[in-house]
Amino acid sequence: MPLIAAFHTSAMAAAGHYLHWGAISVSTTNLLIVIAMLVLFGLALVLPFPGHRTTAHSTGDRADGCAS
Amino acid sequence: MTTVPRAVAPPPDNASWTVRLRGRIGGLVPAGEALPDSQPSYVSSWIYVFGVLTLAALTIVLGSGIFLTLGGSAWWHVSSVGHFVNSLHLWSVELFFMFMVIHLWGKFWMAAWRGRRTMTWVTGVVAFVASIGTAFTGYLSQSNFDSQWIGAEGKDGINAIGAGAFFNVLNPGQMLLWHVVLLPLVVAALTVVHIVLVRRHGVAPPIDATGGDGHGHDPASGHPRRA
Repeated sequence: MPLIAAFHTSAMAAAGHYLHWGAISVSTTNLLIVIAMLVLFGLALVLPFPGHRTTAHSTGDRADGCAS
Repeated sequence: MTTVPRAVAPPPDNASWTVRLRGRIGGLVPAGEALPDSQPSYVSSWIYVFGVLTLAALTIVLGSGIFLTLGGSAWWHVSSVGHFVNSLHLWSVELFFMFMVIHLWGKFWMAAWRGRRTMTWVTGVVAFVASIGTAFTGYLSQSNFDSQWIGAEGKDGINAIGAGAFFNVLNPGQMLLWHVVLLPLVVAALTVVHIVLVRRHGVAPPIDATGGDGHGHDPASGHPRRA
């Protein structure tokens, strides 16, 4: 319990770290989350989708152009 | 003007209201598209996954929220199970917004409003705004020092836009009811309309897959897949 209490006390006392660029102010945590989202977005665009055998948009998996 | 192929035959004019309603519901999406078992080949991309991830996160948000309403603040603040469900609610909301914003980025850069999908885009945008309001009232409903601080910081902004008379962020009871009743209903209704529109008009194709004509042609068959 003392450890947990100490953790809560330190967590509540922590003000957080902020980065400033002129008028822009963002917490390090939020900046890391935004960067992670951008990385996730980029990976979603470039990583191949499992089971998708074709390499171009112009070719379908089936004759009717649908992927089952 | 193209028409959506109906799942059921249109009812006669003298049909009862239940038959007419059934016909209207049956005509919302093309036959077989309410729960399709295949998709165009361009859907085989990770960027198309984030819509359904958002939906999955929303399901967890609503489920955990229902449990929180059963227990109340005295439960989620003091018991270990309450802490868990409270955390589940918070982190599913965080993931909900992360997935929704990445979904938004993907749809924005592929101009997903093409091919008569304007209302699909608009309902998504309005659902996003309603979700922000729901999250805001959720932060105000925590019943802790954080919610008090957010309410005190936010009151002047709300008053400045003239909404303070009927939307008082310093009134925890009002904010809780907005959070657990009014705004979830709005988000849920918009989500249902959004999904029906996606099924009605089909998943937006990448720009290069349609040659930029914006009509959702299937790139393999060359035919318009849906209206």
